[in-house]
Amino acid sequence: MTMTGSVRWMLLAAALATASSAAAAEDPRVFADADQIAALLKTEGHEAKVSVDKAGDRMIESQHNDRNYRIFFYGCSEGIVAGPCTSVQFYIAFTRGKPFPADRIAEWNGNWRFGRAYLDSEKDPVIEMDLNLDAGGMSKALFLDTLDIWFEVLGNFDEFVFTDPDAKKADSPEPKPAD
Amino acid sequence: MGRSSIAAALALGAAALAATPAQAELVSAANPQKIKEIMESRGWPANLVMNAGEDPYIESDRDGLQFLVIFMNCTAGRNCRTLQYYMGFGAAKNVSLERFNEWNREKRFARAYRSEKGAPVLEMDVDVDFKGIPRENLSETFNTWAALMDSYRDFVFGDG
Repeated sequence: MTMTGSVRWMLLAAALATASSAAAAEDPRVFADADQIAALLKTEGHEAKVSVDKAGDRMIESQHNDRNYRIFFYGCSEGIVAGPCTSVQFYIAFTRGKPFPADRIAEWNGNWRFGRAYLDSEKDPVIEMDLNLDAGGMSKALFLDTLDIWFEVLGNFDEFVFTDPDAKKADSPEPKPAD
Repeated sequence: MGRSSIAAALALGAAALAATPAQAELVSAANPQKIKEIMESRGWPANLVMNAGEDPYIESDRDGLQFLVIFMNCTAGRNCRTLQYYMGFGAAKNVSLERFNEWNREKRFARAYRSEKGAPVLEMDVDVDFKGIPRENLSETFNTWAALMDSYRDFVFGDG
């Protein structure tokens, strides 16, 4: 039972601690509905613009730590006129202007939880996190908790991508500050 | 009708959600026994292992594929807040990093990698903090996991 490195334990500690206060008496359900989630993001002080992705489904463009990320919607049987879809995917891609090493992506996936990292067709590092919101959805408190996990994943991956273990410091782009 | 009427309510905005009908049973990681029962209700064996001070886990298998449901973010082995579904193949041909990347690019929900000992691993994380998620939602994550396990076996041992 050693599949959980200590680093994984740390990942969620902050997110879970800060989100605890979000549990409110009134706790409406959150579904995979772009309008609803965008409104929720705005209520929480985040930017959220609803647009349409390549598949014709709705998506949300938002920001965290000055980084642009997207929320894609899946299982939307009726396309953009539909009500709730069945699941969402948080997505962010970074570019360093040169191919990112495949072995470092593998290192990430072996050491961290919740995100799924890969290299896209341009060898740029991407991280995604999927969330099922079908079958009753989830409480607002739990959704916001999961959003905090995504912010942790995004921030840690950002730092990971822009910290080159083999390069001299002068060659490394500065990672964005944590806050 | 049920689905469309819910959709109509959603169109009115987030405030309308308070009108969601009857609350479903919620399942959280704080109750390993309940999750064990849900797994068994699907016909999956479920051996709950609880050692003092350590994170609980459930040993299971489905169609010959052994996997674990690990309770995480616990406090001294209790009041856990997240789950991880975990499967590793001890004996497998060498899978290249390019192939793992292919999995992680094309699949959803579960992350694939090679362990330090060279074993292909598949992991899926679920946040079930607070009061948890509806039992039906948790059950869907098991459906997703079961499908991914099958895909991963083909991915690791298939000719593709």
